Amino acid sequence: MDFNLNSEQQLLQDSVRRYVGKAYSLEARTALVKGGKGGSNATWGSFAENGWLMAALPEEYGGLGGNLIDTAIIAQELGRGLVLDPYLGCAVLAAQTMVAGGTAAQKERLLPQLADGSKRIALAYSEPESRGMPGPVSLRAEKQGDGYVLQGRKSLVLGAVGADAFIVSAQVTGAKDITLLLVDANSTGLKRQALPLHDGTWVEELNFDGVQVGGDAVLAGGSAALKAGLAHGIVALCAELIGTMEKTIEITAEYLKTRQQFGVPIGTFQALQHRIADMAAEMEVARSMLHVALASVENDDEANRQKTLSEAKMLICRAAKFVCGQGIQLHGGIGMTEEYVIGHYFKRAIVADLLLGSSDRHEAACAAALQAELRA
Amino acid sequence: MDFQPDPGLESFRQEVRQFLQTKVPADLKGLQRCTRSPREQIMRWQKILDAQGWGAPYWAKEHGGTGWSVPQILVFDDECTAAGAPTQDGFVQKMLGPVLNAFATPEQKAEHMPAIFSGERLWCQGFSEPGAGSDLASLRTRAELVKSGDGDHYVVNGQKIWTSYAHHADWIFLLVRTNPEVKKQAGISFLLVDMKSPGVTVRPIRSIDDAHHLNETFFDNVRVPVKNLIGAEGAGWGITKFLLNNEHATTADLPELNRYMRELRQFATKLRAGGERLIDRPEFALKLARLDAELQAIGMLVQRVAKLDQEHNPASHVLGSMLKIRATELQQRITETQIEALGDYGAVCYPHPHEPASDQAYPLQDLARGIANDMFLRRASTIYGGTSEVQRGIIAKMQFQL
Repeated sequence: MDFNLNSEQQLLQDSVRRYVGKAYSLEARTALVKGGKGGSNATWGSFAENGWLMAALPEEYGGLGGNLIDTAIIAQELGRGLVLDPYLGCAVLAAQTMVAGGTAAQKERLLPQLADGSKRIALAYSEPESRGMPGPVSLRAEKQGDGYVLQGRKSLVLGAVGADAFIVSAQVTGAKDITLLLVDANSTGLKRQALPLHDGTWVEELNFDGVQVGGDAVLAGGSAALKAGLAHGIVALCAELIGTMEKTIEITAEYLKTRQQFGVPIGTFQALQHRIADMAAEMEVARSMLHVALASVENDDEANRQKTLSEAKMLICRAAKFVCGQGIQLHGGIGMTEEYVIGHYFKRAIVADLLLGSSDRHEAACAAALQAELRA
Repeated sequence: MDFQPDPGLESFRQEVRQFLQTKVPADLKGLQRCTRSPREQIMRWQKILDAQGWGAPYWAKEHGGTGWSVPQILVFDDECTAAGAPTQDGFVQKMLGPVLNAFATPEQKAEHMPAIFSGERLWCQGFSEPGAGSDLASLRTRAELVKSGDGDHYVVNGQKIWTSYAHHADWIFLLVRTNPEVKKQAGISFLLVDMKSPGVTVRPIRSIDDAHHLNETFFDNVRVPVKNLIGAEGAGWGITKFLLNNEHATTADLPELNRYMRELRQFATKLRAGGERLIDRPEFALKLARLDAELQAIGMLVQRVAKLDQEHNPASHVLGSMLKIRATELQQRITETQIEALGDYGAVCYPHPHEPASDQAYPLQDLARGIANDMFLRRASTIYGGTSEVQRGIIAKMQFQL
């Protein structure tokens, strides 16, 4: 194993960090939050131009053939800048589900368009009762001719605003596995409702009332493909939170050196020194867990991989809530103001914990995996 | 970044496992470890390792060590712990040995190295004093140089405390004040002392794990030949910093952490509560999942620190401090969970595994003996080697310049 970035990875990190530093000042971000429903077409265009949307897509479909580590590097930098654009929803979750489960024809048609940013798809898999986990799925797909009719609801679809199509998980009557279907965003019978999240991003609730799709809408892969997409998404979200923690700690350390109380910088107080040391240790344990997840995706069998991803999701999300929460605490009152950035890192941590399955859900999944392993 | 497993590491693990299975006598396998084995086990085990060419697993080849990489060392320690093999003399292997390799004269090496490899001379560490724990620079044990016809020597007077295994040791490596006039750090020297020297007294301190590891050690006009001074007079502080900066990755005691987790998993299937196995109880499974996740993360943090150690990257200091804080807290949490898993039998004071068993069998003793001792002993983990508070200070200073 090698924990250092190689020269290509370093270039990638530098380029994303430079862009985020320029394009995502707090003022620019605040304007984006006020002006729209998360992100902007201009920044998405820059993502595409810089090759970040294609970094982890296969070369034969217009990608650069990179891997999950590239995704993690990009996501971490986006996390440092609290970037609003739907990288996670569109470029990771939906795109990687398509890579894992799309038919050759779908991939040939769609992936180059995702790679160059001319099209966006989003992954509609979560439901009010599945709460971000891949199942259970209650949205029904009934066979009609060679296609299907969809009835049901998907909740909190990341990257849905501005998406051209959705990958939808559905239960076909009588089928064992779930079915993934590609659904046009403008389909008749599809009602979309946008919802704002605490962190300035937007999601959509989707209602399917007799939405019809053709036979060519069916993806080749089912739950296995969805899990592969979610695996990429969990790693990206975890990496994003590492960036979020890093930046919170940097900002806080700077504040401890400049803010004066009782005639001295507050960083001279041991209680606060120990607090920030604990925040840093928490982050490095979390970063190590991200490495465990990356190694597991590369080397482990499916069962171990799922357990490790759940461990990563819960441990890193809890760490981010702690670190970002303490960021507010060490800033005192200023940390509570909307105009100051530190509170927004905490908001992102809170939202991230609830997306893609909460810490509690993933902890329960780990516990179930341990039970299965030890009963065997 | 690249997370492919290190090539060759798995075959190395098999090699170590094979050795432990075939060449280790049955009575030296599957032993209760409790951080350090009894003297006679350490000495027998050292001879076996030496015969294999593994007498100094942590040292470079040029010093007669194995030349193993840090990941190999971690594998070796993990396999030995899993097999219940005796411990080595960590003081000489991990602390004094590297100092001798770096600072000792050829005569000093000739005197001490053969006994290190053969295991015939066990060591202890004389750093802490009643008034100098974490603030080591304020130590007061004096060594005065006396010139005399039968050879120049130091006369040592003072007291050391928390001297682990002084009652088993043949020699002690000692920090002494040789010059009270200069800056505190500059007046300290590094001496090797034969514990049989007249004037050395060891008095036991019983610790809360119901065992005798700790001692007070007194020096009353102890004559130490000047040839036992390591480095120059007054160079002790620099040597000590060198010694304490070795091997940040091993402060986590990962092999022991892994052992505790293996035991806890065993309890999960063997012990029952309310008519079901522990693992079938959701609250226990959740607790186990949380600890398991953290152990995975700590294991990877160990690998990261190990790589930095290997590259002599100064970043290993800060990351090592973070690892020390978190791994020792995890030691405490896992061992406390073990006690809880035993149910009310967790409250029973079983005889210490290194002391004779009672004539009467205790209920659950095959599983439970030694568990509480480890748990109580681990309260020391966040104190020794620099307290968690000292580590936090190091992080604040080195990483954040606070």
